[in-house]
Amino acid sequence: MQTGTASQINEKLQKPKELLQIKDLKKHFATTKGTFRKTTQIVRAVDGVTFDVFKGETLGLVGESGCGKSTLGRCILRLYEPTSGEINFDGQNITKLKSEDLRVLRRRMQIIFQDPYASLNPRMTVGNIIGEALVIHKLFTDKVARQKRVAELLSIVGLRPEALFRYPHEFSGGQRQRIGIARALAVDPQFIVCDEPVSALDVSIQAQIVNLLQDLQAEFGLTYLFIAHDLMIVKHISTRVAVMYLGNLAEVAPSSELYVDPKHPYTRALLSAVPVADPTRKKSRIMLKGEIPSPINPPSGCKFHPRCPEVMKICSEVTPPLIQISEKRQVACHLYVLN
Amino acid sequence: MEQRTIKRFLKNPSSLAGTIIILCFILIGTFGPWLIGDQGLLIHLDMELKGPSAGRLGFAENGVDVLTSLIYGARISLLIAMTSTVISLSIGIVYGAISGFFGNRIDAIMMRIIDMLLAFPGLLLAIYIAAILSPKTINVVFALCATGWVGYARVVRAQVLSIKNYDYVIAATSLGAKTHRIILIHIIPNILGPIIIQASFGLASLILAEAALNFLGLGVPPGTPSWGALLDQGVSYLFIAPHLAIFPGICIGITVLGFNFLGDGLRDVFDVKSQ
Repeated sequence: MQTGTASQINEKLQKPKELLQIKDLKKHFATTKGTFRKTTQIVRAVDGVTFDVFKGETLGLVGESGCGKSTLGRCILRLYEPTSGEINFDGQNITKLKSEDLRVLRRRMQIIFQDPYASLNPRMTVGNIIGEALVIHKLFTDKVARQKRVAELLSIVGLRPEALFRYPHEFSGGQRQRIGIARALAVDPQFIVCDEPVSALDVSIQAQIVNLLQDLQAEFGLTYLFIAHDLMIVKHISTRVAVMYLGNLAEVAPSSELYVDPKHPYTRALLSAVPVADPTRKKSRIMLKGEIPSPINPPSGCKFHPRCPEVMKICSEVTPPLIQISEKRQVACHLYVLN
Repeated sequence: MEQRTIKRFLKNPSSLAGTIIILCFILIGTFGPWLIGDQGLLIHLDMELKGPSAGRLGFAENGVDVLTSLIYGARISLLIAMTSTVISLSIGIVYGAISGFFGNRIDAIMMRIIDMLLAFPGLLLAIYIAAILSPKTINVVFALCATGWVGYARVVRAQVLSIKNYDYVIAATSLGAKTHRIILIHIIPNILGPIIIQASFGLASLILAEAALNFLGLGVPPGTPSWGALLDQGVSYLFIAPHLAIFPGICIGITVLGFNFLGDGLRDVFDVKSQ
């Protein structure tokens, strides 16, 4: 017993191990025109992103709509083919995996979707939806055993086993989201991309789903990439937070530090926009100029410079790299390069 | 949802009327010839070209009973239309699903082939094919299918394009489902609605096309009583025995109307917004 606890403490003291390493990942979408598919425009949805996700943590990924959060999540799962860059999962480079190896990998990483109404096939029973993964990976060849496993998954996400033979339209949004979670859990994954899993739900249901996700993480030792635009939910669930702007990371920091002391001007502006439930507190809202630029023709240098309240001359000329400013914090801004 | 759909289908006057009309003709075509027995096939030379009288729709040249011919005709006309539809639909679904699902260059090439086929008027191509082939019932089906599948392929492709980016299809991919599984289990069942609607309109136009082919003498072998062939025979006697052309015309008209009613009704039933 003694040695067991000691080694556990030791493990905790050790530097956390990376489960996922993303290196300079890019995803460009080409819009084509005419019979010969001539490329007319390139949308730089993800434009060179580098970060790590550690085992057992939740990395929150925040940013405005259209900044490339979801695209990044789907590239990691190889649902979109990355244009360039490297994805390492548990020490294995998965960027170029081909069909059969990729299928094996799919058991280890899963996705939960935003819209619980679009994410379940309306013509399949809940039992078949959740059990599909078991059929695909031939995990339970016996039908009765498979049904038992699906019923078990249903109870894990807090649904009754009667749901097995029902169709998705018979369930509410929150229940459907639970079905989606059960489907993701069916293959025993290590890593789950939560693509705005609560954005489409009522506030009261949001809390339930977030708590469920946290319980599951504790029970199965899951690692999450939690994509959202609700900063408070991200604060609640995340170990660390990455802020994304127009296809690039602006800042990566532990959740406890980011909300207290945001470094990047964009992060500051984002946080100042969060409503505070205290009428006596004076708001000091940073208003950003203009709209989010198009990823088709992004601004030169730092992509945030046309809207930045602290813009300098260098900002429009040189793209700031994501640099380490303290042990756990990274930021991509010239304000910190100079120091 | 299945039960609600059936309930709405039965409540919709248009789809109900269409179903009843078509069911009647199908029943007549299936059991009619068997009920008439050999009696109906007798030739009454003395009654040649005689007009309708009590219980009879008159006689054609050589004293053939018109009612009997029409009942046999229902069987042949409906059989040709339905076989052609099933074959066209199968080709259309496979072609459209491949084109829509794989997209990009494959899609571009496959769609240009369809554009080329569409550049010919459909019936003209069918006439051309029927003209070079020998007059056999199976060749009529072939001629009708040769152009019939194109419409289905286009509908299927458009539907696949819109549905292949749905989250549940992406979810299946992320679970490791193979392409054929995604197409067969996740895409096709969810696009059946528009395809069925298209098929019911398609059946109506096939009945007309089959009649047109026969009317031009390019259809079923001589002596086979399809409605189009009967119409063709009747035209020669239009002034002395108009009933020979009128009754097959009415049959064609009512059947086409029935399929169109069905199509309209199905469109309302499947359209959630019309509720």
